[in-house]
Amino acid sequence: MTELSQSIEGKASRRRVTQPGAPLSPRRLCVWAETGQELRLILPEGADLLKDLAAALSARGIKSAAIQMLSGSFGRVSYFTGMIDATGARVATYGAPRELSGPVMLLGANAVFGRSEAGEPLVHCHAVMVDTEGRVHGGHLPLEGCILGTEGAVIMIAPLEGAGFEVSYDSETNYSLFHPTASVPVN
Amino acid sequence: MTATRIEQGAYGRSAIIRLRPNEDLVEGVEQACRENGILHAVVRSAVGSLVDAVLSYGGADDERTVSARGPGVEILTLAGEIAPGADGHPRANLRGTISTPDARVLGGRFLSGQNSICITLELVLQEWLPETKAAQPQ
Repeated sequence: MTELSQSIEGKASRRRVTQPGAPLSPRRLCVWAETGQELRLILPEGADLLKDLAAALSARGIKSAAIQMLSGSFGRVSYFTGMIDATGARVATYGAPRELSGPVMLLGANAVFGRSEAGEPLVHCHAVMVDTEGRVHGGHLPLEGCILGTEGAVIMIAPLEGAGFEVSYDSETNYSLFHPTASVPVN
Repeated sequence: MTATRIEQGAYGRSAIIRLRPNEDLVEGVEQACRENGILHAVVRSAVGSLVDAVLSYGGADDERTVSARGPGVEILTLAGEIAPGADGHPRANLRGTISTPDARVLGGRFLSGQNSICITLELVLQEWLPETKAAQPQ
C-alpha cells in the first residue's frame, strides 16, 4: 500500500511518498542539447493528434523535441487523470479514460517527444481543454484516438539535437520513463 | 509602479531535465539550474505529476492558495522562467495548470517547497542569454 510521510522542517512541510523501489541517484538529471530550427506545425481536421505529430516529426528526422500546443479543437478526445495504485505495485496509476465528444476546444498542452525502449517515436502529452458545456478538463492524452476537429491544431516544436528523451526502466517507481540521454555518435 | 524595462537577448541551448520523486518542483528546478550553471532560462515544455499540489493566486498583498491532494496530481501545463534572485542564485517562477484525481482542473503559481514530484517531471528549459545591462533603457 502507498505510504506517505510528512516531516515538519520549519514552517512549510510537504508530503513525500515511498516508492516501490530504492531511491536512485542523482535526484536531478540534466543533459544539454543544442536547440534545432524551430517549427510551427499545423495539423488538419481529422488528424490523430499524437500519432500524426510523431509521424510528422519523424519524417523530418527529428528524434526528440519540446512541444507547446497553441490552439486546436477535438472532434473526440479522451484523457486520463492520476490516482493511487491500490495494488501497491506503483505509487500512482491512471484511472479509466474519460471520453469527451466534440467540439472540444484545446486550451493548451505541453508534450515531450522522444524514443521508446524499442527506439520508436513516442509522445508524452498532457492537455487542458474545455467542453461544449464550458467545463474545463485536463489530463494525460492516449497515444491514439485524440481526433482533431474543424480547427485542427497549431503546435510549436523546439527540436533537441545531440541529446534527447529516451525511455528506460526506472526501478524506483516501477515505470518505464523518459530520461535525458546524450546521443551516441554514429560511426 | 516600476518603469518598463526591455532586456535584449537570444535563446541558447536546451537543458533536458528529469526530477525524481519527492524532489520539490520549484526548489528542485532551482537546484538543477545551480548544478548546471543556468541563471536565465525559459520553460519550453514540461510533463509530470505531483504527490500533492499547492498553487497561489490573487495579488501579492492578498495571496491565496488552492491545494490538491494526490498522489497522482497531473501537471498539465507549465510556463515560466528562471531568473537570478536578489542573492544572485537562480529563482524559478513557475505557473500552470493541474488536474486532480477527481478530474478537477486548477491553476496558479506553484509555491516553493510545497509540491513534491510523484513519479517524474520531464522538463526542457531553454537558456535565455541577455546582452549587457547597458543595452537596457534606464
